[in-house]
Amino acid sequence: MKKLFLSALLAISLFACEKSEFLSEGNYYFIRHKGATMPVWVKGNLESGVFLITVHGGPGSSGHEFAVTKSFTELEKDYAIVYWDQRFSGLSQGDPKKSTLSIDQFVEDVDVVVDFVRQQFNQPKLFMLGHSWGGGLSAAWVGRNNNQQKIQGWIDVDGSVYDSLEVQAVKHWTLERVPAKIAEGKDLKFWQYVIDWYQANPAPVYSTKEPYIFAAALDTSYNAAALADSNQLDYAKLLLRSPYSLAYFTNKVDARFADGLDFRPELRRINIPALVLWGKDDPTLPIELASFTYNTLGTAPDRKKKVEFEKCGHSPHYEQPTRFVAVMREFVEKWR
Amino acid sequence: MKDLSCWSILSVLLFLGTSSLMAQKNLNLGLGYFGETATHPGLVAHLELEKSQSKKVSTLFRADLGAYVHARNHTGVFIDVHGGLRRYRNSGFFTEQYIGLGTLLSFYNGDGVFQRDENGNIRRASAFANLDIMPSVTLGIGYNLSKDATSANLLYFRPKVFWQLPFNNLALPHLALQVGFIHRIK
Repeated sequence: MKKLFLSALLAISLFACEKSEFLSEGNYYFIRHKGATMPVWVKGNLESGVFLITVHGGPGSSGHEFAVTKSFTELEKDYAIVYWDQRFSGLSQGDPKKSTLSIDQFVEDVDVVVDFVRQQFNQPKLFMLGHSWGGGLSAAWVGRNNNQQKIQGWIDVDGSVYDSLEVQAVKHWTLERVPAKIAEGKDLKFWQYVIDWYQANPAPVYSTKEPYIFAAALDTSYNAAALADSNQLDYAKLLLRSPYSLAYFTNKVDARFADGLDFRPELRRINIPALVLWGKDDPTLPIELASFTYNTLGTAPDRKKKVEFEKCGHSPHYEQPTRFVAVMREFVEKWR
Repeated sequence: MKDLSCWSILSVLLFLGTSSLMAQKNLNLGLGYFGETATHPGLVAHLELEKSQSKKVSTLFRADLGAYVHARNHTGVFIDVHGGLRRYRNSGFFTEQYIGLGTLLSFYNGDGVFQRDENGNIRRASAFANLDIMPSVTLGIGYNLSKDATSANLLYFRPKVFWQLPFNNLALPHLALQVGFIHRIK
């Protein structure tokens, strides 16, 4: 028993003393605002003077997810990257009122993060990248007031900007593929349920979960084995020697506040350089939405670009890190 | 309201503990490593009132005072009280289980906390986070070096689940591992 006890103590001590990049790299701040305390992790090449602020998806995901991808690790060599967790999301702390779950509040939070980075790092050149829900949220911030004067460029990665169009696109994407699934003869009851559900619910909204569950059940180019090769994670270190806590799993956002979101007015007001990145096999926000976002943007054609990723789903930064990094570098270097 | 309910429950438990003291046979002191998620290090001190129910079974009222550091997340300081059972085996091993309630004082742990003031400027803010309610469940296994329930020099290994509430309109569960030593002083 004594040996077991001492061995356990020694093992814990050794692991607790092991150096972890999650606890040593960059600067780790907290921003308090309207009841929420949101972590902001700034790391990478701070000397570059170019900072990329990331706005994560969900709502309810985590900016820390970007930090553990190969693509952002690579971009950190050239630029400083700002990873921020939104209220009620990821590793955010505090106990904000439910009434702060509103689009306007999230936009205000973006504004506080941007002001913090500008002040803390002596007015660096800023770019902003939003993924999925974060694409729409970042567009809303960029397109309001004179916010776009604060940044050099905006990058939209499979972003959500117009609810009623998107849910219909997902519906069509799914129903187009269901007959082939039925022809395969597998899970017939499930695929018939999908058809029946859409007949009973012809106009779902942003927070309706079923369309995304149905779409995810269809085959895409998502290749788990390949992803494991390109985004290798030390899960033990992430669990035991990092800022991560169980909040990552327990924090929840009731997405109903985003039902009916429509950021077209903000998109039309954007005139700074913009890059629209999209996976061609995205089931969550199908590829035709890339053209919609690109065409709605107010930015002049010579200052905006759309890149579609072949054999790629909802997250090009995760699924195709090499090409993602290449197009990001090209854009930032052109407009920094 | 939150603090009131917390202190009310603590008062009830302290009353029960005091009642237990009236009939208790032994007083134990302990000290141990407290690792939030096992590896975020801290220390915990125990004061135990142990009442033997039989030769092998005793009931316990325990108060813990501890602190730990979860880098880039928070630093926690807690005081909690527990009620539970300990069963001694002939081999010298013992098992135990507790439920507890306490309060967790937390501070944000990072390179700074900032907020926007009423003039729109970003200012450094206090790292103080919250004073939260902290219910818990603890299991334990250990070994009595004295191999005798009438005296006690105990090595213990205690996994603990505690909750921090309120937290983002819910409760945040924490896992912890405690390893330490308890000595009977009376």
